[in-house]
Amino acid sequence: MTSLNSEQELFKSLVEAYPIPSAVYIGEDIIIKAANQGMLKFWDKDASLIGWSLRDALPEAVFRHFVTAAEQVFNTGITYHHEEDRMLHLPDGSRQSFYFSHTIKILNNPEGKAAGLLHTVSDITEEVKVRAREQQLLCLVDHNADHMSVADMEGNLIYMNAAARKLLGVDAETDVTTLSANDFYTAAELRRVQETIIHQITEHAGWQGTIRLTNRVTGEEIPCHVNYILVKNNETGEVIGRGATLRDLRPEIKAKAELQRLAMIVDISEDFCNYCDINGNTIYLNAAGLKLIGMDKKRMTSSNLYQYHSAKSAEAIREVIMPQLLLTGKWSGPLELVHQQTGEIIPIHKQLFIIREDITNTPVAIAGIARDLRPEVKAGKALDYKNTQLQIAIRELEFLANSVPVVVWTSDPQGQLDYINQRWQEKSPLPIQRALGNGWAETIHPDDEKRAWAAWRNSLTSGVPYQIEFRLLDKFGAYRWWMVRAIALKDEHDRIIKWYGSNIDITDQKELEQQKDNFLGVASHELKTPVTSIKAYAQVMEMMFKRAGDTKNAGLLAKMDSQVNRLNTLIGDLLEVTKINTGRLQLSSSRFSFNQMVEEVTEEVQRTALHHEIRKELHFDREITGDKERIYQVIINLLTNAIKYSPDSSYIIISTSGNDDEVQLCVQDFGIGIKADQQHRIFEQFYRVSGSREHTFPGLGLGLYISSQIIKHLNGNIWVNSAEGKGSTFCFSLPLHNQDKNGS
Amino acid sequence: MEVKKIFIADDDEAIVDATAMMLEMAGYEVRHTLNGATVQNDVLNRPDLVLLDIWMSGIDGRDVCRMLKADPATLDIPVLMISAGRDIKESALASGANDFLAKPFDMDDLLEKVAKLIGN
Repeated sequence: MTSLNSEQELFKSLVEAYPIPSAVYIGEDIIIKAANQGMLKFWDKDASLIGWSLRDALPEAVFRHFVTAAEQVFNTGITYHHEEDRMLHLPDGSRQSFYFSHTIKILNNPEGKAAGLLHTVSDITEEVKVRAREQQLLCLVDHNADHMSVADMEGNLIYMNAAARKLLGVDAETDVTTLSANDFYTAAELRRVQETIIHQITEHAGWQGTIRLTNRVTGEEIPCHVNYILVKNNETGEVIGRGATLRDLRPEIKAKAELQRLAMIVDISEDFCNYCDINGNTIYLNAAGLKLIGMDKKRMTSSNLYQYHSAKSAEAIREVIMPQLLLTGKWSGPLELVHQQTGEIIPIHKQLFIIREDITNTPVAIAGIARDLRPEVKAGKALDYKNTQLQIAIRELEFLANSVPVVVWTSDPQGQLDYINQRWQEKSPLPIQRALGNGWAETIHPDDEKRAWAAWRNSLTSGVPYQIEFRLLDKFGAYRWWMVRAIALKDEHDRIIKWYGSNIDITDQKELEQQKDNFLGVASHELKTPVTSIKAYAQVMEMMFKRAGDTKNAGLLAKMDSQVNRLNTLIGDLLEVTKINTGRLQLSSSRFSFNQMVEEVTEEVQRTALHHEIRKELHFDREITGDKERIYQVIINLLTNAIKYSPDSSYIIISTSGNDDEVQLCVQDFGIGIKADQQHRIFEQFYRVSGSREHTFPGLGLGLYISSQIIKHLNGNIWVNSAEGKGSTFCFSLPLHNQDKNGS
Repeated sequence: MEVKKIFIADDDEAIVDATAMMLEMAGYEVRHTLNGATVQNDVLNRPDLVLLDIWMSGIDGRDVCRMLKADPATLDIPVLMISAGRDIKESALASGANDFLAKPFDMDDLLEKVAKLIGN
């Protein structure tokens, strides 16, 4: 017993001296036989609990699982070991986590039977905390947006964070330790890394610079900024690897390229571009800007916005523009620059913008774009000069237009008058402004309106010159006659651009014509009246002599009658010519048998033609439409002429022919004929065939003129074939359709 | 057979004189006036034919003709319009005359037209 007791005491002493918390339990009741200070502290108890069963000594719930574990070890003999047992302790009044490792082992007696338990506890709180910090750091690194990797000095990868995996095409399943850092360099870069960079990392404990890496999946080469650091063992200082942080340079390169392009655009812009701080100190001026103000590039950064604007503009910028810029962020308007060498004031149109700091929104700079206005000003001046010249030309033209004694006007292609000269005002009650457009038509005589419009519309449509006479109301309420003419100005495509018109007052002319007409009417009446009574008396006397059987005297009176007839014909011819010349030859229209009319004329002429036989060769036997009396008159004229100019001949020939379109009539004589050089003049007014015997052929020379005019008015032709000394053939032709030119 | 009565209205005395002689030689009874204004009154004794000049002093023959043709008492009396003026055909038609004859005229033409209007 003593020995056992002494052994027990020795064991107890051993336990108490053991540097880690330890306790010895005896028997199946797990009686605490010994517990050193470390264990007592762990339990937060004192030595009085020695001799108690473990279950009774540690009733706290927190120890329950040790008690259960101890009982199990005693019964099974299997060692209990538990790592990282977290316990909350309040050793100094504050609540703290502690981590412990427990080991409960069986103690066998010499018979090999379970006699007791050895319980040791080690405090691993610090160790656990360090491990947790490592975990946190790794998580941080793994989820960091920056690309990170670690490799040993041979280049075998140890670690690669998620960002780096993504960048370089390594999926989450791939074990990076199977990869080599060298797999990610391009061939050229690998050489550089092996030959240069590795040494630099070693020698300088790190390296940074740009390396092109390759994405394993896409094969894309990625320029990266790489920062290598040497990783060393903390305690031994031995180099154990290299860490790398990578920055993908592609966004920066792209942004830089864009910025460069932008800068280039600004640089080569022909507009003045400047960038200055909020006080106007120049940060940048593009080439065009420097050139415009004649500034040397070296002086650029020392220049100031207020300095290269004119005093007036500088004041405006300071007083007006800057406050507005700060308020609204932009401003645009005219300003003046000053050429730094010549002092020339340069007008510009400027746009200004405020640049603000991204986050604080503080205004930091002013950007400006300006356009040199000198070319515009110059062009404006040139235009002004041209306009002035044009105004002078217009004034001169207007003066000219107003100085002519006629109304002058212009109209657009649609017939709207857009200019009338001042002459209009002298006669018309309508102010020029009201007469423009179609306003003038208010004053047209109602009887002339339809006719005038029809002619104007016809000209506007066809482009043919407009010429018409009509009456317009004058200032005194009377109508005045105007001769209105207009011609169209056309472009190279024959399109009408403008109409140029003139109105000539022909009222006096018209009145004069009327007076002449009236006079001729009266004259003819007054001449014919005595002729009528002479003729009547002669006929009465002739009748009386006939009845008395005095044929001689009757004959004399018949001759007298024929002379009276000649006199009457002359008076008639004079009147006829007057009518033709005043455009008042009136034509009527009726349907009649041409052949029958020719027979009548021939019979009438034959009655008085004592020495000539009129031979008829009539081959046209149809009805025609026309003025029968006028055509009759023409045929009489041709027959009497033929007789008159062939005194030595015994016959003349009248012949007709025709087709579906026209009828032709010819009268042939065998008389004196007409010289070739006179034939074309034969139809002229007052023209008479000249020659030694002309006085023997009396007459006014009006007959053929009147005949030709009548045929012309009937849209026909008249002509002569003649040989001097042999005779003449006078012919006319008339269309069978549309004979009436006057429409009357 | 009763002698036909012809009334001449013309302001020219010589023409009236000579024309009257022609017509009387042809067997007509002729009366006349030199004053156109009295024609309406003069024809109340109903001549068989009126020879009417157009240009008469004081009055226009066309107006006289229109009045005769408008009056029921005289509208049936034939009017032969005779004139030295222009456009006699138009004037005659416009004023309702039965026929016309231009001055100077042939005696034969006159007698023919008269006979046609009232018979010989």
